[in-house]
Amino acid sequence: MASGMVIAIKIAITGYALLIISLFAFYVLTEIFVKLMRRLDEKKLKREHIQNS
Amino acid sequence: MVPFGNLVMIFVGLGLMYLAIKKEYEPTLLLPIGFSTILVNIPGSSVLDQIVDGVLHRGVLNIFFDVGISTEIFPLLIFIAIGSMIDFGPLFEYPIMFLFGAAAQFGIFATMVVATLVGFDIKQAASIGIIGAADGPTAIYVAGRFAKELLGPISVAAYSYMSLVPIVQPPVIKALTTSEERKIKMALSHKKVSKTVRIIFPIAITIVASLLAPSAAALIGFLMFGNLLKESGVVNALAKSAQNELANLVTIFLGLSIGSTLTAEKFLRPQTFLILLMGLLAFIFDTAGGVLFAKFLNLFLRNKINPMLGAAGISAFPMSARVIYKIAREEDPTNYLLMPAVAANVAGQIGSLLAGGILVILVTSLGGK
Repeated sequence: MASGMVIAIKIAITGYALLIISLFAFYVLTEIFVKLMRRLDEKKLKREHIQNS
Repeated sequence: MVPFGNLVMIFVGLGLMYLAIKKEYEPTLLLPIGFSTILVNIPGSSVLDQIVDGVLHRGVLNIFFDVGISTEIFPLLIFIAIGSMIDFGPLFEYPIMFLFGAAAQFGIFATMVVATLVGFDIKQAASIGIIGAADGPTAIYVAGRFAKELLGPISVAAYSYMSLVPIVQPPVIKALTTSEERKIKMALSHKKVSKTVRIIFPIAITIVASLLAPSAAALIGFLMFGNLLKESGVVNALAKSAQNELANLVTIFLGLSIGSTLTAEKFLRPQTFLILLMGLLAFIFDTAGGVLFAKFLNLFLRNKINPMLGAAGISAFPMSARVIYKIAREEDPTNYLLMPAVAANVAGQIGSLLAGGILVILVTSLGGK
Protein backbone atom coordinates (compact mmCIF):
# COMPACT_ATOMS: atom_id res chain seq x y z
CA MET A 1 0.00 0.00 0.00
CA ALA A 2 2.86 2.36 0.87
CA SER A 3 4.40 1.99 -2.59
CA GLY A 4 0.96 2.52 -4.14
CA MET A 5 0.62 5.74 -2.20
CA VAL A 6 4.07 6.95 -3.23
CA ILE A 7 3.15 6.34 -6.88
CA ALA A 8 -0.18 8.10 -6.35
CA ILE A 9 1.54 11.13 -4.84
CA LYS A 10 4.01 11.20 -7.75
CA ILE A 11 1.18 11.01 -10.28
CA ALA A 12 -0.85 13.61 -8.39
CA ILE A 13 1.96 16.18 -8.22
CA THR A 14 3.10 15.60 -11.81
CA GLY A 15 -0.45 15.53 -13.15
CA TYR A 16 -1.60 18.66 -11.38
CA ALA A 17 1.55 20.55 -12.37
CA LEU A 18 1.20 19.43 -16.01
CA LEU A 19 -2.44 20.47 -16.03
CA ILE A 20 -1.72 23.94 -14.65
CA ILE A 21 1.17 24.45 -17.09
CA SER A 22 -0.99 23.29 -20.01
CA LEU A 23 -3.90 25.56 -19.18
CA PHE A 24 -1.51 28.43 -18.47
CA ALA A 25 -0.21 27.91 -22.02
CA PHE A 26 -3.82 27.95 -23.28
CA TYR A 27 -4.43 31.18 -21.36
CA VAL A 28 -1.39 32.93 -22.84
CA LEU A 29 -2.04 31.66 -26.38
CA THR A 30 -5.73 32.57 -26.26
CA GLU A 31 -4.96 36.02 -24.87
CA ILE A 32 -2.44 36.69 -27.67
CA PHE A 33 -4.66 35.14 -30.34
CA VAL A 34 -7.80 37.05 -29.36
CA LYS A 35 -5.91 40.37 -29.11
CA LEU A 36 -4.25 39.79 -32.45
CA MET A 37 -7.51 38.91 -34.16
CA ARG A 38 -9.26 41.92 -32.64
CA ARG A 39 -6.47 44.19 -33.92
CA LEU A 40 -6.74 42.66 -37.38
CA ASP A 41 -10.52 43.08 -37.33
CA GLU A 42 -10.16 46.72 -36.31
CA LYS A 43 -7.67 47.36 -39.13
CA LYS A 44 -9.99 45.67 -41.60
CA LEU A 45 -12.91 47.80 -40.41
CA LYS A 46 -10.83 50.98 -40.69
CA ARG A 47 -9.75 50.04 -44.20
CA GLU A 48 -13.34 49.37 -45.22
CA HIS A 49 -14.39 52.64 -43.63
CA ILE A 50 -11.74 54.58 -45.58
CA GLN A 51 -12.68 52.84 -48.85
CA ASN A 52 -16.37 53.60 -48.29
CA SER A 53 -15.75 57.25 -47.49
CA MET B 1 -37.78 -15.66 -4.55
CA VAL B 2 -35.85 -12.46 -5.10
CA PRO B 3 -32.56 -12.53 -3.13
CA PHE B 4 -32.24 -9.82 -0.48
CA GLY B 5 -29.35 -8.06 -2.28
CA ASN B 6 -31.34 -7.82 -5.50
CA LEU B 7 -34.29 -6.46 -3.57
CA VAL B 8 -32.07 -3.75 -2.07
CA MET B 9 -30.80 -2.88 -5.55
CA ILE B 10 -34.33 -2.64 -6.90
CA PHE B 11 -34.94 -0.06 -4.17
CA VAL B 12 -31.70 1.69 -5.15
CA GLY B 13 -33.04 1.85 -8.71
CA LEU B 14 -36.34 3.24 -7.46
CA GLY B 15 -34.39 5.76 -5.36
CA LEU B 16 -32.41 6.93 -8.38
CA MET B 17 -35.62 7.33 -10.36
CA TYR B 18 -37.16 9.24 -7.46
CA LEU B 19 -34.18 11.64 -7.46
CA ALA B 20 -34.51 12.03 -11.23
CA ILE B 21 -38.27 12.53 -11.40
CA LYS B 22 -39.15 14.22 -8.12
CA LYS B 23 -35.94 16.17 -7.41
CA GLU B 24 -34.83 16.55 -11.04
CA TYR B 25 -31.24 15.58 -10.15
CA GLU B 26 -29.55 14.86 -13.51
CA PRO B 27 -32.77 13.20 -14.76
CA THR B 28 -31.46 12.45 -18.24
CA LEU B 29 -28.92 10.04 -16.77
CA LEU B 30 -30.33 8.98 -13.42
CA LEU B 31 -33.68 7.93 -14.90
CA PRO B 32 -32.27 5.38 -17.39
CA ILE B 33 -29.66 4.26 -14.83
CA GLY B 34 -32.36 3.74 -12.21
CA PHE B 35 -34.61 1.86 -14.60
CA SER B 36 -31.92 -0.48 -15.84
CA THR B 37 -30.82 -1.06 -12.21
CA ILE B 38 -34.25 -2.57 -11.63
CA LEU B 39 -34.07 -4.60 -14.85
CA VAL B 40 -30.68 -6.15 -14.09
CA ASN B 41 -31.62 -7.12 -10.54
CA ILE B 42 -34.59 -9.24 -11.47
CA PRO B 43 -33.30 -12.82 -11.13
CA GLY B 44 -32.75 -14.48 -14.51
CA SER B 45 -33.43 -11.20 -16.33
CA SER B 46 -32.89 -11.52 -20.08
CA VAL B 47 -31.24 -8.09 -20.24
CA LEU B 48 -28.07 -9.73 -18.88
CA ASP B 49 -26.05 -12.63 -20.30
CA GLN B 50 -27.59 -15.99 -19.35
CA ILE B 51 -26.29 -19.49 -19.85
CA VAL B 52 -29.17 -21.78 -20.71
CA ASP B 53 -28.37 -25.48 -21.26
CA GLY B 54 -24.70 -24.58 -21.63
CA VAL B 55 -25.43 -22.03 -24.35
CA LEU B 56 -24.67 -18.35 -23.82
CA HIS B 57 -27.58 -16.04 -24.58
CA ARG B 58 -26.32 -12.48 -24.78
CA GLY B 59 -28.23 -9.90 -22.76
CA VAL B 60 -29.02 -6.64 -24.50
CA LEU B 61 -27.55 -4.48 -21.71
CA ASN B 62 -24.31 -6.46 -21.73
CA ILE B 63 -24.13 -5.91 -25.48
CA PHE B 64 -24.73 -2.15 -25.01
CA PHE B 65 -21.95 -2.12 -22.41
CA ASP B 66 -19.48 -4.02 -24.59
CA VAL B 67 -20.22 -1.92 -27.65
CA GLY B 68 -20.49 1.48 -26.03
CA ILE B 69 -18.57 1.62 -22.78
CA SER B 70 -15.79 -0.95 -23.18
CA THR B 71 -14.91 0.61 -26.52
CA GLU B 72 -15.26 4.17 -25.04
CA ILE B 73 -17.60 5.09 -27.91
CA PHE B 74 -20.57 6.37 -25.86
CA PRO B 75 -18.66 8.91 -23.72
CA LEU B 76 -16.84 10.15 -26.82
CA LEU B 77 -20.08 10.61 -28.76
CA ILE B 78 -21.47 12.53 -25.79
CA PHE B 79 -18.52 14.90 -26.12
CA ILE B 80 -19.49 15.73 -29.70
CA ALA B 81 -22.94 16.62 -28.36
CA ILE B 82 -21.54 18.70 -25.49
CA GLY B 83 -19.12 20.49 -27.82
CA SER B 84 -21.94 21.46 -30.13
CA MET B 85 -23.71 23.11 -27.20
CA ILE B 86 -20.75 25.00 -25.67
CA ASP B 87 -20.21 28.68 -26.23
CA PHE B 88 -16.57 29.60 -25.65
CA GLY B 89 -17.41 33.32 -25.99
CA PRO B 90 -17.08 34.15 -22.26
CA LEU B 91 -13.66 32.47 -22.21
CA PHE B 92 -12.43 34.82 -24.96
CA GLU B 93 -13.46 37.73 -22.74
CA TYR B 94 -11.69 36.32 -19.67
CA PRO B 95 -8.89 33.99 -20.87
CA ILE B 96 -7.32 34.07 -17.39
CA MET B 97 -10.17 31.80 -16.32
CA PHE B 98 -8.31 28.99 -18.07
CA LEU B 99 -6.16 28.84 -14.93
CA PHE B 100 -9.16 28.03 -12.76
CA GLY B 101 -10.16 25.31 -15.21
CA ALA B 102 -6.91 23.66 -14.13
CA ALA B 103 -6.81 24.64 -10.46
CA ALA B 104 -10.28 23.29 -9.70
CA GLN B 105 -9.27 19.81 -10.87
CA PHE B 106 -7.31 19.52 -7.62
CA GLY B 107 -9.90 17.11 -6.26
CA ILE B 108 -9.04 14.51 -8.90
CA PHE B 109 -5.44 14.22 -7.77
CA ALA B 110 -5.99 14.68 -4.02
CA THR B 111 -8.77 12.08 -3.96
CA MET B 112 -6.63 9.64 -5.91
CA VAL B 113 -4.02 9.81 -3.13
CA VAL B 114 -6.71 9.35 -0.46
CA ALA B 115 -8.11 6.36 -2.36
CA THR B 116 -4.74 4.60 -2.28
CA LEU B 117 -4.60 5.33 1.47
CA VAL B 118 -7.82 3.40 2.05
CA GLY B 119 -6.58 0.41 0.07
CA PHE B 120 -7.54 0.86 -3.59
CA ASP B 121 -4.88 0.03 -6.18
CA ILE B 122 -3.54 2.86 -8.33
CA LYS B 123 -5.85 2.25 -11.31
CA GLN B 124 -8.93 2.04 -9.12
CA ALA B 125 -7.74 5.12 -7.21
CA ALA B 126 -7.32 7.10 -10.44
CA SER B 127 -10.81 6.05 -11.52
CA ILE B 128 -12.25 7.18 -8.19
CA GLY B 129 -10.27 10.44 -8.31
CA ILE B 130 -11.69 11.28 -11.71
CA ILE B 131 -15.11 11.75 -10.07
CA GLY B 132 -13.55 15.11 -9.18
CA ALA B 133 -13.57 16.02 -12.86
CA ALA B 134 -17.25 16.77 -12.23
CA ASP B 135 -17.75 15.45 -15.70
CA GLY B 136 -19.72 12.21 -16.12
CA PRO B 137 -18.44 11.14 -19.55
CA THR B 138 -14.78 11.72 -18.55
CA ALA B 139 -15.33 9.67 -15.38
CA ILE B 140 -16.86 6.87 -17.46
CA TYR B 141 -14.03 7.11 -20.00
CA VAL B 142 -11.27 6.77 -17.38
CA ALA B 143 -13.07 4.25 -15.15
CA GLY B 144 -14.03 2.21 -18.24
CA ARG B 145 -10.35 1.98 -19.08
CA PHE B 146 -8.89 1.33 -15.61
CA ALA B 147 -11.57 -0.12 -13.32
CA LYS B 148 -14.61 -1.49 -15.13
CA GLU B 149 -15.63 -3.28 -11.92
CA LEU B 150 -16.15 0.12 -10.22
CA LEU B 151 -17.88 1.81 -13.14
CA GLY B 152 -21.37 1.63 -11.61
CA PRO B 153 -20.69 3.36 -8.29
CA ILE B 154 -18.26 5.83 -9.92
CA SER B 155 -20.86 6.90 -12.49
CA VAL B 156 -23.59 7.19 -9.88
CA ALA B 157 -21.28 9.26 -7.64
CA ALA B 158 -20.16 11.51 -10.53
CA TYR B 159 -23.68 12.32 -11.72
CA SER B 160 -25.17 12.59 -8.23
CA TYR B 161 -22.57 15.04 -6.94
CA MET B 162 -22.75 17.09 -10.15
CA SER B 163 -26.38 17.70 -9.41
CA LEU B 164 -25.53 18.43 -5.77
CA VAL B 165 -23.05 21.20 -6.65
CA PRO B 166 -25.44 23.89 -5.33
CA ILE B 167 -25.37 22.13 -1.94
CA VAL B 168 -21.70 21.06 -1.83
CA GLN B 169 -19.91 24.18 -3.06
CA PRO B 170 -21.37 27.14 -1.08
CA PRO B 171 -20.25 26.06 2.42
CA VAL B 172 -16.70 25.37 1.19
CA ILE B 173 -16.54 28.71 -0.65
CA LYS B 174 -17.86 30.62 2.35
CA ALA B 175 -15.44 28.88 4.71
CA LEU B 176 -12.45 29.86 2.57
CA THR B 177 -13.35 33.45 1.64
CA THR B 178 -14.19 36.61 3.53
CA SER B 179 -17.27 38.66 2.82
CA GLU B 180 -15.00 41.38 1.37
CA GLU B 181 -13.42 38.91 -1.04
CA ARG B 182 -16.82 37.69 -2.16
CA LYS B 183 -17.78 41.27 -2.99
CA ILE B 184 -14.88 41.82 -5.42
CA LYS B 185 -16.26 42.92 -8.78
CA MET B 186 -14.82 41.91 -12.13
CA ALA B 187 -14.39 44.41 -14.96
CA LEU B 188 -17.02 43.82 -17.61
CA SER B 189 -15.82 43.32 -21.13
CA HIS B 190 -18.13 43.92 -24.06
CA LYS B 191 -15.71 43.25 -26.90
CA LYS B 192 -17.04 40.67 -29.30
CA VAL B 193 -14.79 38.24 -31.10
CA SER B 194 -15.05 37.53 -34.78
CA LYS B 195 -16.38 34.33 -36.29
CA THR B 196 -12.84 33.53 -37.45
CA VAL B 197 -11.68 33.36 -33.82
CA ARG B 198 -14.54 31.05 -32.93
CA ILE B 199 -13.69 28.73 -35.83
CA ILE B 200 -9.93 28.67 -35.30
CA PHE B 201 -10.23 28.15 -31.51
CA PRO B 202 -11.53 24.53 -31.48
CA ILE B 203 -9.05 23.52 -34.17
CA ALA B 204 -6.10 25.16 -32.37
CA ILE B 205 -7.07 23.73 -28.97
CA THR B 206 -7.35 20.24 -30.47
CA ILE B 207 -3.89 20.45 -32.00
CA VAL B 208 -2.17 22.00 -28.95
CA ALA B 209 -3.93 19.78 -26.38
CA SER B 210 -3.32 16.62 -28.40
CA LEU B 211 0.36 17.48 -28.72
CA LEU B 212 0.59 18.13 -24.97
CA ALA B 213 -1.36 15.03 -23.97
CA PRO B 214 -1.87 12.61 -26.87
CA SER B 215 -4.06 10.38 -24.71
CA ALA B 216 -6.51 13.29 -24.39
CA ALA B 217 -6.74 13.63 -28.19
CA ALA B 218 -9.97 11.64 -28.45
CA LEU B 219 -11.64 13.45 -25.54
CA ILE B 220 -10.62 16.98 -26.57
CA GLY B 221 -10.89 16.24 -30.27
CA PHE B 222 -14.49 15.04 -30.10
CA LEU B 223 -15.52 17.95 -27.88
CA MET B 224 -13.91 20.45 -30.21
CA PHE B 225 -15.28 18.73 -33.31
CA GLY B 226 -18.77 19.23 -31.89
CA ASN B 227 -17.95 22.88 -31.26
CA LEU B 228 -16.60 23.31 -34.77
CA LEU B 229 -19.85 21.91 -36.20
CA LYS B 230 -21.66 24.70 -34.39
CA GLU B 231 -19.23 27.55 -34.99
CA SER B 232 -18.46 26.84 -38.64
CA GLY B 233 -22.03 27.81 -39.50
CA VAL B 234 -22.02 25.65 -42.63
CA VAL B 235 -23.37 22.41 -41.16
CA ASN B 236 -26.23 23.64 -39.04
CA ALA B 237 -28.19 20.44 -39.59
CA LEU B 238 -25.29 18.38 -38.22
CA ALA B 239 -24.82 20.75 -35.29
CA LYS B 240 -28.51 20.52 -34.43
CA SER B 241 -28.41 16.72 -34.74
CA ALA B 242 -25.45 16.62 -32.38
CA GLN B 243 -27.25 18.89 -29.90
CA ASN B 244 -30.51 16.95 -30.00
CA GLU B 245 -30.73 13.51 -31.60
CA LEU B 246 -27.16 12.40 -30.90
CA ALA B 247 -27.16 13.76 -27.34
CA ASN B 248 -30.51 12.20 -26.51
CA LEU B 249 -29.91 8.81 -28.10
CA VAL B 250 -26.44 8.31 -26.67
CA THR B 251 -27.61 9.49 -23.24
CA ILE B 252 -30.30 6.79 -23.23
CA PHE B 253 -27.83 4.06 -24.20
CA LEU B 254 -25.16 5.38 -21.84
CA GLY B 255 -27.58 5.42 -18.90
CA LEU B 256 -28.90 1.93 -19.62
CA SER B 257 -25.36 0.57 -20.06
CA ILE B 258 -24.16 2.03 -16.75
CA GLY B 259 -27.22 0.61 -15.01
CA SER B 260 -26.21 -2.81 -16.26
CA THR B 261 -23.21 -2.67 -13.88
CA LEU B 262 -25.39 -1.98 -10.85
CA THR B 263 -26.04 -5.58 -9.93
CA ALA B 264 -26.25 -6.56 -6.26
CA GLU B 265 -22.95 -8.48 -6.28
CA LYS B 266 -21.07 -5.56 -7.85
CA PHE B 267 -22.72 -2.68 -6.01
CA LEU B 268 -23.51 -3.90 -2.49
CA ARG B 269 -19.96 -3.82 -1.21
CA PRO B 270 -18.17 -1.64 1.37
CA GLN B 271 -16.15 -0.26 -1.59
CA THR B 272 -19.26 1.43 -2.93
CA PHE B 273 -19.79 3.39 0.28
CA LEU B 274 -16.13 4.46 0.20
CA ILE B 275 -16.43 5.54 -3.44
CA LEU B 276 -19.51 7.65 -2.72
CA LEU B 277 -17.70 9.22 0.23
CA MET B 278 -14.59 9.95 -1.80
CA GLY B 279 -16.68 11.42 -4.61
CA LEU B 280 -17.96 13.98 -2.14
CA LEU B 281 -14.41 14.58 -0.95
CA ALA B 282 -13.30 15.13 -4.56
CA PHE B 283 -15.88 17.87 -5.08
CA ILE B 284 -14.87 19.54 -1.79
CA PHE B 285 -11.17 19.39 -2.77
CA ASP B 286 -12.01 20.78 -6.23
CA THR B 287 -13.82 23.75 -4.77
CA ALA B 288 -11.11 24.41 -2.19
CA GLY B 289 -8.35 24.04 -4.79
CA GLY B 290 -9.99 26.55 -7.13
CA VAL B 291 -10.70 29.12 -4.42
CA LEU B 292 -7.25 28.87 -2.82
CA PHE B 293 -5.55 29.13 -6.20
CA ALA B 294 -7.49 32.32 -6.94
CA LYS B 295 -6.45 33.73 -3.58
CA PHE B 296 -2.85 32.81 -4.36
CA LEU B 297 -3.07 34.59 -7.73
CA ASN B 298 -4.46 37.66 -5.97
CA LEU B 299 -1.17 37.98 -4.08
CA PHE B 300 0.44 38.98 -7.38
CA LEU B 301 -2.38 40.73 -9.25
CA ARG B 302 -3.09 44.45 -9.16
CA ASN B 303 -6.71 43.96 -10.25
CA LYS B 304 -7.91 41.33 -7.81
CA ILE B 305 -10.03 38.41 -8.97
CA ASN B 306 -13.07 37.36 -7.00
CA PRO B 307 -11.74 34.11 -5.47
CA MET B 308 -15.15 32.45 -5.72
CA LEU B 309 -14.53 32.22 -9.46
CA GLY B 310 -11.87 29.60 -8.74
CA ALA B 311 -14.64 27.26 -7.60
CA ALA B 312 -16.41 27.66 -10.94
CA GLY B 313 -13.44 25.99 -12.62
CA ILE B 314 -15.07 22.59 -12.24
CA SER B 315 -16.74 21.04 -15.22
CA ALA B 316 -20.29 20.91 -13.80
CA PHE B 317 -21.86 23.30 -16.29
CA PRO B 318 -23.79 25.52 -15.71
CA MET B 319 -24.54 24.65 -12.07
CA SER B 320 -21.24 25.86 -10.71
CA ALA B 321 -21.37 29.21 -12.56
CA ARG B 322 -24.90 29.73 -11.25
CA VAL B 323 -23.80 28.99 -7.68
CA ILE B 324 -21.04 31.63 -7.85
CA TYR B 325 -23.38 34.15 -9.46
CA LYS B 326 -25.95 33.58 -6.73
CA ILE B 327 -23.52 33.90 -3.81
CA ALA B 328 -22.04 37.08 -5.31
CA ARG B 329 -25.52 38.62 -5.63
CA GLU B 330 -26.33 37.65 -2.04
CA GLU B 331 -23.23 39.53 -0.86
CA ASP B 332 -23.76 42.50 -3.15
CA PRO B 333 -26.84 42.71 -5.38
CA THR B 334 -24.93 44.93 -7.83
CA ASN B 335 -22.19 42.35 -8.42
CA TYR B 336 -22.78 40.42 -11.65
CA LEU B 337 -20.28 37.59 -11.87
CA LEU B 338 -22.16 35.40 -14.33
CA MET B 339 -19.95 36.00 -17.40
CA PRO B 340 -16.58 35.34 -15.71
CA ALA B 341 -18.11 32.42 -13.80
CA VAL B 342 -19.35 30.88 -17.05
CA ALA B 343 -15.86 31.46 -18.52
CA ALA B 344 -14.28 29.56 -15.61
CA ASN B 345 -16.90 26.83 -15.92
CA VAL B 346 -16.23 26.40 -19.65
CA ALA B 347 -12.48 26.35 -18.94
CA GLY B 348 -13.27 23.61 -16.42
CA GLN B 349 -14.73 21.50 -19.21
CA ILE B 350 -11.47 21.71 -21.13
CA GLY B 351 -9.49 21.23 -17.90
CA SER B 352 -11.38 18.10 -16.89
CA LEU B 353 -10.80 16.46 -20.27
CA LEU B 354 -7.13 17.30 -20.21
CA ALA B 355 -6.89 16.03 -16.63
CA GLY B 356 -8.47 12.76 -17.77
CA GLY B 357 -5.95 12.45 -20.58
CA ILE B 358 -3.00 13.30 -18.33
CA LEU B 359 -4.19 10.78 -15.76
CA VAL B 360 -4.41 8.07 -18.41
CA ILE B 361 -0.82 8.76 -19.56
CA LEU B 362 0.62 8.93 -16.04
CA VAL B 363 -1.19 5.92 -14.61
CA THR B 364 -0.29 3.85 -17.66
CA SER B 365 3.36 4.84 -17.53
CA LEU B 366 3.96 5.07 -13.75
CA GLY B 367 1.22 2.87 -12.36
CA GLY B 368 2.65 -0.43 -13.60
CA LYS B 369 0.48 -3.39 -14.55
